[in-house]
Amino acid sequence: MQLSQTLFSPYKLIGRVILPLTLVAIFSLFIIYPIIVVISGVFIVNGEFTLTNILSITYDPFVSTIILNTLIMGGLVTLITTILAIPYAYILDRYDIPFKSFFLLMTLLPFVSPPYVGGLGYINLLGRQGTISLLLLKAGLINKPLEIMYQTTPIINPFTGSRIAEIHWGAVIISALTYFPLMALTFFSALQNIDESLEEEAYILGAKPSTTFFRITLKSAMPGLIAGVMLVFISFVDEVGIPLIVGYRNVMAVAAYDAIVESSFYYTPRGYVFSLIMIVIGLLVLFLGRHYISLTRYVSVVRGAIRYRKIVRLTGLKRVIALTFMIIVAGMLSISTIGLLLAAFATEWYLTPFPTKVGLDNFVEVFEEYFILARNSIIYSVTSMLVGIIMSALIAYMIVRMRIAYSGALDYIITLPLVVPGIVIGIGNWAVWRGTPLDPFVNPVTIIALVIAFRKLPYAFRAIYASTLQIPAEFEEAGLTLGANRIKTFIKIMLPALAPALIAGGLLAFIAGITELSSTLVLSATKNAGSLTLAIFLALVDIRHGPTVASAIGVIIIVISIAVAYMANKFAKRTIGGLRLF
Amino acid sequence: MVNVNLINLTKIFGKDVAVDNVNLTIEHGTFFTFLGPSGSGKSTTLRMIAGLEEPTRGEILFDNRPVTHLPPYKRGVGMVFQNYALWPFMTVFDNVAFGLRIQKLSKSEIRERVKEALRLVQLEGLERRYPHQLSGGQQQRVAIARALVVNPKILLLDEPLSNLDAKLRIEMRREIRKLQRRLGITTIYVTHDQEEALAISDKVAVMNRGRIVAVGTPYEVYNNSNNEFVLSFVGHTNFIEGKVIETRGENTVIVETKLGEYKIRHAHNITNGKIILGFRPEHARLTKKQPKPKSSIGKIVMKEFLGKIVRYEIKVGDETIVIDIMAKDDPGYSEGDSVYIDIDENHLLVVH
Ligand SMILES: Nc1ncnc2c1ncn2[C@@H]1O[C@H](COP(=O)(O)OP(=O)(O)OP(=O)(O)O)[C@@H](O)[C@H]1O
Ligand SMILES: [Mg+2]
Repeated sequence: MQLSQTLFSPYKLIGRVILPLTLVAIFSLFIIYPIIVVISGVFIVNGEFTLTNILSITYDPFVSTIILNTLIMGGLVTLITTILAIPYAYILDRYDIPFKSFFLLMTLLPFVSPPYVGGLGYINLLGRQGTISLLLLKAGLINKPLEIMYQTTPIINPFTGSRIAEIHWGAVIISALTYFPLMALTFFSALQNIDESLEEEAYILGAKPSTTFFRITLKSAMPGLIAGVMLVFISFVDEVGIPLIVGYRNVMAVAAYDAIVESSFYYTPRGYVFSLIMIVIGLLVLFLGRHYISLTRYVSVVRGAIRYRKIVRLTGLKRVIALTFMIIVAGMLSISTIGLLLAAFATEWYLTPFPTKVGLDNFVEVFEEYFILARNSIIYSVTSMLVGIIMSALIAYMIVRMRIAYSGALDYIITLPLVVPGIVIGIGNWAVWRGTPLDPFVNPVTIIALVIAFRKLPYAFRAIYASTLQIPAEFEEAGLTLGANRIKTFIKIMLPALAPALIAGGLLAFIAGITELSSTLVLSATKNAGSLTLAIFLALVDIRHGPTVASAIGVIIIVISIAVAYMANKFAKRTIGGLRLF
Repeated sequence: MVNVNLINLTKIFGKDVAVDNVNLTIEHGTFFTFLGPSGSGKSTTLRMIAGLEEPTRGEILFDNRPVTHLPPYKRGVGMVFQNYALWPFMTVFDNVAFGLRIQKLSKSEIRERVKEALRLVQLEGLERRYPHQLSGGQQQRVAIARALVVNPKILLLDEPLSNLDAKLRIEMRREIRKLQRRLGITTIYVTHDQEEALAISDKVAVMNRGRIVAVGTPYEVYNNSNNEFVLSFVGHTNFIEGKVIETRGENTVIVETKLGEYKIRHAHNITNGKIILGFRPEHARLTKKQPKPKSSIGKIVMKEFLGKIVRYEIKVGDETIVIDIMAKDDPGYSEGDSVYIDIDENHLLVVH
């Protein structure tokens, strides 16, 4: 009798069963179900189960080439970033060098500068008609424009002599530079967390510095390094922006998108096959990433709080080498910003190394020509922020306070969008909503807003969940004993206590929303449905302006992101326990 | 004022029995304390009375009316938490006013009652401060004011003093006691500090592993219990083995121990064989000459001067016995001296 009373009290039924199920159902409708639809699209054709599509990996040379391209180039990108990031982070952590905070700041770039915007900057400088190419031509050092951003190297099967894959150097170089900060920061925070006494112990036992570095330091920071490797690899696999910027289409995410566009003319399963492979890679990273925790931690709280550490003073040649290395790497990172700014403010720039006239014309152009897309961007990021705050607050509360069953699984599900490519989620939602009131042809802005909001939920959720964990249960219990019921304690105690985290998490979701590209790309069925990120690509192919207006849009996105990130950080510092974002 | 009945009260977390079949009556107006070591189930019991945990089995009655399944906000209890749980984003005034605002009282009434409550805990004038601008003792007072301002039927306190330093702890416990006397409110208090429990309470329940092992006035619990756990947890008790060597009349036996032969009266149900005896450190004296037949001599291994008393630790065979002597009666032995222990026969307890 007591048991039944416990189970069926209405508040518990709502709190522990109805509300969580409803929230999970809504979330699943836009994330999980579309993923399932994509997967079943591979195995079920015309209502019948088939393995033909998945086996096409082995006999369709186009499919296998695309997969190999992606894996090989992804591996290369990861390798380059790792080789650069290990010394970069180590020097930053251990040595006394000038411009330290600048070098650290460079690692925070990806929070505010979306990959394709950075890519645009590199092209402006390193492309055929880019500043560097023209300068070198002028100086007579080269006699043809720089081709490095467009060159490919074929990979030949030594047994058959046939071309099985290729490396596109533009995509690789831009990706490596763009993702380098992710790797450097992940590894840096791992280094920061190493207990110094471990290394001191090794020295006392007579180990050489190099031995200590490989045996102790690197080994202790390994989880961080592995998290960084997975993060970079999966980012490359999911990337559509960078390949599109350099005009390269033979990687999985772009090919999946192309196949989906093609499939409106004739049946091709390739879009689904590529999606399935990306999902599998994503899930692998998710499961392995759980093992090395930091993957999900990275998106929410980059623990920038620099612990006290004994800083070694470098002298002589060592100092020169270390500083040169840092300057070269940071220099390469900043040239994209320089390239972007040059073009954004150029009102006249044609086949000269530098603009011949500067002004604000490009920004005016953006608002005249892409006003609706700019408005959409605001709609998308505000939706993302609101959904992020409300859903995260409710779900975090249920996990932390209501002792609901399967809370671990819930946590997993919400993290899913971090590892499943936006292209896949876009394709899935396309398939799910055709012919419904949310059809992308009928109501594109609504469906895109919702998909972006749920895709970006983890950003808000992580920050809000972490804060919820830090609020003592007694805060609400005190309210309960004073006569307030659960709903009142939630509103009057929990929400105010969480306010700083809600704002910070919401702003993070806002940034994530304004930089979103891939789902928007798939779902913007009509001309006026895209966002500013899409406007970049429209402007880029518009022969009237070339890269200048596109760069201006990039600058606008970065400026908004920096402003919002700054506010988020301000609020985050005020949360209980001093959660810091940057 | 309310009296509280706990009937077969049990709480099981998964497989752990946190509270095991507790039966108690707490008379209205009493200052009642649950005393026990960490993890003994004190907080869980208190939280069930508050309605913050649902009992696995059993009933809770307030004035003979069952409240077992009533949510906390319908019970009319006031609770003070170990970490105070003051809301950091509210001022002192707003913290205290919270319960009154929930009752939708008028602004002027709220102002009056908050003022009154703050006067009660001597905190007038700090209304505008935020909790982090207060000292630990002041935070404590705010928490008490917040609990009392709604005129609760019962006041519950879960280790309210454990975050304060030793001196403030004694000061605050006196104030809490005075306040309770003045308001006459039924108060249930949780602590693991035996001195605090004995000093502050009308009645004490000693808990161990989820069970009540002794209930009574502080005097009864300290002096009359022969439960081994109570004897060792509440104050210190020396335990020694004994062997019954003679029965005299109805209830009196002669017991032979390491510390000599003793006569024990009221020795119901004791026949031949081995028994365990206990005595408090203050119920013995030290002497140079053999006080009882067959006493063994011991060696002083440690002497501590504790102000009012002097504590000796004496090794007899392989057992260590603790003896407290009033400082003014200190015979002045030193570490290394050999002495006999003479127990006060009237205070020798039969444990089992
Ligand atoms: N929410 C819970 N879930 C699982 N076990 C619990 C929970 N709360 C308490 N327990 C367990 O119940 C037992 C009693 O805990 P309780 O908090 O009542 O002890 P206590 O006497 O108050 O101890 P302390 O002096 O340390 O506060 C402990 O073994 C504890 O681990
Ligand atoms: Mg406790």
